[in-house]
Amino acid sequence: MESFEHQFQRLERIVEILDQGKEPIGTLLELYQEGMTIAQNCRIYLEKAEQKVTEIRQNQDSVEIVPF
Amino acid sequence: MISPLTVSELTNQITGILNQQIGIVSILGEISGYKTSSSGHRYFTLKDDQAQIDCVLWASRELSFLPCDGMKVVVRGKLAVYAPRGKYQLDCTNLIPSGIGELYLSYERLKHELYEKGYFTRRKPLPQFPLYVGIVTSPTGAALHDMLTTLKRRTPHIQVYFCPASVQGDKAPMEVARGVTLLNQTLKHLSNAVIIVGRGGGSIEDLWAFNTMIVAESIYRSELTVISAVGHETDHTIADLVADHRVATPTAAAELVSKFDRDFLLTYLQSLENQMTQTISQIIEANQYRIHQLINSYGYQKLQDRIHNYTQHLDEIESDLSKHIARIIETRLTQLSSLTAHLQSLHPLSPLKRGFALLKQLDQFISEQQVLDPHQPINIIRSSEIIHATIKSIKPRIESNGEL
Repeated sequence: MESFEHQFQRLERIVEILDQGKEPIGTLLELYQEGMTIAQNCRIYLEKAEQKVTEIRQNQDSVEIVPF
Repeated sequence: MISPLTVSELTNQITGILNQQIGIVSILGEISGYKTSSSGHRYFTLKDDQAQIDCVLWASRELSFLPCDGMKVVVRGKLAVYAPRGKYQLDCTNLIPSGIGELYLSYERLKHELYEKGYFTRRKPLPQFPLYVGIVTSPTGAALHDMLTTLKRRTPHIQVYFCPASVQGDKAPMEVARGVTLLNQTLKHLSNAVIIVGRGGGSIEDLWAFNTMIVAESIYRSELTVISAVGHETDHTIADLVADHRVATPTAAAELVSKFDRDFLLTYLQSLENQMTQTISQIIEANQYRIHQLINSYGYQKLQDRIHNYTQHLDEIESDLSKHIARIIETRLTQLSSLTAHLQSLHPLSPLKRGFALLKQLDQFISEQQVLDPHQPINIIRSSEIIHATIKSIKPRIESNGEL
């Protein structure tokens, strides 16, 4: 999934364009579809999310990334 | 001769020089003659074995301890002139007990140096929805636990990258600085990542790692937004001053990062969905209404009438056309049958039907020019029979009016 933040921004932008209603109705319907899909993806992402903690350690010259 | 200055003029000049040349200073010394006036202002003298200076701490300035005569302190303040008595004195902003005076002086020097270098100007914004949080703190302190608990409760979707570091002792400055740098290397390609560097509260000596040049530099060079969360009550650490954001406790840092928690985001998502659905429904309804209006409009109705008229006209033309075609076909059929009859009458055998006969000799038709002789056998062909005959005699035919 594209970054959650970008998706959210895109969603807010779509709501804005719909509110302005200047685009042709075909475009608006496509945007609506896109917006609903994004909203659904974001919701699934938020609902399924579980905290993940990763530890980063430096040993001499190398960097080690391990689950915490 | 130069005209003499008034006392006020001289005092003004002295004031100007003191302000410009000395300004704000931090001084280490011993308190003597400490007294609080009825107005709440505190007056005392700061001295060492060779000199002394009068000091004033206005009632509005806060003190975190009660000073007493003989106490060694570091005083920070501005050198000022008290004109009515022709005295200079230190207008103090704060006092720090001297046990930590040396540390405080070095803090002041570093703070001044970094201020001059412009290190305190970073103000990178927090990402609106942080998705990655890098944490530099002790693996054993309560700070990490507090932050993870807060983040887990409020924003479980945030991924945490933890860089363990000592937060006090000789190794602390280097480890904290390395943590900030490592997290930058790991997370810098993510636009919505943020770093928290901090520890729980402690004495000024305990917090010292956060007042070092190496930590200040690592924060200053960070490409990611840095939140400084060093537990403290009064002064800010250097790390606080350099960082983009500062909070008083690690938990507060986690709360800042998770400002928009999961429930908020879910509610917001729902409201965006509702808004979109409502808007698109309105747009569709508006268009349906418009279509309805158009269908019922005078222009559209008139157009329909015109279309009806055209269709009717077309029907008429079509009907006329078929009548016309039928007439033409009829005429042509008549012509065709008369031509057929004419053609039939031109068939070579058709005169036989009217009684004429053809003559053949040895299966050849006898032509006009052929000379015949008596006694020759000939065949006479009639319409329904063939007569075998012999020529008796021949004489020329003389043509007369219509008779054969």
